[in-house]
Amino acid sequence: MEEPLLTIKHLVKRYGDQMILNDISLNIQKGQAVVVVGSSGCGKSTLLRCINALEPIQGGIMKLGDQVIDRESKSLTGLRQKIGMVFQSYDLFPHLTVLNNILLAPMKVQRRKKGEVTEEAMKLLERVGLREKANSFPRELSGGQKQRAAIVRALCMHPELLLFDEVTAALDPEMVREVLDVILDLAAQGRTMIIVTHEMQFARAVADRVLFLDDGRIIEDEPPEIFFENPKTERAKQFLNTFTFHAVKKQTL
Amino acid sequence: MNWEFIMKYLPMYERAAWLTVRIGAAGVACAIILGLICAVIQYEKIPFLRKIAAVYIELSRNTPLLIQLFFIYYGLPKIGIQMEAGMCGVAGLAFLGGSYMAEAFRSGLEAVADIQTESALSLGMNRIQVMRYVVLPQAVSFSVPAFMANVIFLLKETSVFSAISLMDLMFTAKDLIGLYYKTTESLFLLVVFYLLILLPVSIAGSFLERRLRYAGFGS
Repeated sequence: MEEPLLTIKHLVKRYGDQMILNDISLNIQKGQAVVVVGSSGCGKSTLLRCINALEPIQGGIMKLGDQVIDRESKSLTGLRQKIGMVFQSYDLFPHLTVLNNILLAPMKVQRRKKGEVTEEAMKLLERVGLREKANSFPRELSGGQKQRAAIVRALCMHPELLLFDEVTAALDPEMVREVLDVILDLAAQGRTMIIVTHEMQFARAVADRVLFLDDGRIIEDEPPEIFFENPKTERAKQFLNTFTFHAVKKQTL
Repeated sequence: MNWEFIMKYLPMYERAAWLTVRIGAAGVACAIILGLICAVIQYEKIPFLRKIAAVYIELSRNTPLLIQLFFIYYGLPKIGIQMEAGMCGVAGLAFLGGSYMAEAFRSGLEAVADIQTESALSLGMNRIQVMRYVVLPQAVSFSVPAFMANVIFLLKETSVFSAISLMDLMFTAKDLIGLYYKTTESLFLLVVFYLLILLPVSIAGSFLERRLRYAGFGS
C-alpha cells in the first residue's frame, strides 16, 4: 500500500479540562475524499483546525507526507501552503478584489509571476462561474459566490490536501448547491479532501469514506453506502435519524 | 475693526502659519509612525517591548503637552540632549500624539476579525505578511475616524508652542496684542488662520473616511 498523504496518530486536543479530540488516529491516502460528520460540538471542526496547525495540540503526532505538522516548526508556512483550507464564515479579504484575494498568497508567499498566476486564477474562476466577478470586491458578492472564490483562492496555492470546514453552513439554501457542485467537481478530479459538512446527501455523493465523530472519537469509519445504509453504532443510527422525517398521521379528535 | 492693521500684519501671520503647518505636519507624521509601532507591538504581544509601549502610552496620555515641551526644551539639555525649538516642537507633538495614534490603531487592529488572520495563515503567510497585507490595511481603514480626530486635535495643540518661544500663530497674536493692544484684530487673524489650516484637514478627513469604507463587511 502507498504511503498515506496524511497520518494522524493518537491526536489529543483539550481546552482546559475539556476533552475535544480524544486519541484520534487516521490515515488518508492521496486522492481520497473523506467526509467527517457528527453532531455539533463533537470536535470535527477542531480536527481540521489541528491539521492546519491553527490549534495547539496536547498529544499525538500528525504528518503530511513525511513532514511533521508542528506549530513551532520553522517550516510551518511551507507546510500550510500544501494544505488549503476554506472556512465556514466568509474569509475573503474585504479590502482586495476577488482576483487580488487569489493572487496575494501565490505572489507574496510563493513568489510566482503575476501573469502566470492571473492566467491560472482566471481559468479557475471561469470553472466556478465567477470570471466576470474577478474585479469585484467581496462585499459585492453573494454568500455562495464568496465561498466559490475562497475555494479558488485555496486552489491557486496548489495544495496537496484541501480542508473544507462547513463551507455551506452559513449560506441560504439556494446557494448551497452551487458551492457543493464545485466541491463535487474537485472530487471528480481526484483531489485529496477532508470535508466537514451537515449536508448528508452531498456527503454520500462526494465521499470515498465517511468518518463519524462522537465526543472527540472516531466511532465509525466506513464507505458511504455502509455508513448511510447500515451504521454499526447506535449513536450513528440516532444521528442519521435526525435527518429523516416521517409523515405525520393526523389524529381525528 | 482696523483693516489697515490687519493687512499690514497679514504676512507676519502667514509666516507664522507656515511654521505651525510645518511643525504640525512633521509632528503628526512622527506620531503616526510611533503610534503604528506601539499598536503593532501591543497587538502582537511582543514581550518586553509591550511593557515599554504601555508605560510610554500612560506617560504620554496623562501629562499635558505644555509640560512635555518644557521637559524636552529645558530638561533634556541638562542631560546633554540639545535641540532647537522647532525640533522640540516636533518631538513634543510626536511624544503626545504617538499614544493617541497607538490607541486609534489598536482599536482598528482589534476590529479585524480573527478569521482574517487564520485564513491568511492557512495560505502559508508568515506573521509579518499577515500583518502587512491583510490585518493592517483593514485596521487602518477601521481607525480612520479616530485617526482624523487625532490629527485635528494635535494640530490644535500646536498653539502651546509659543511657550518654547517658537514664532507660531499664537506667539504672533500675543506679540501683537502686547505691542499694539489691537486685541480684536490680532485674535480675529488668529482664528482665521487656524481655520484655514484645519478646515481643509477636516474635509480631507471625511473624504478619506468615505474612500476607505471598504473594510465594512456587507455580508
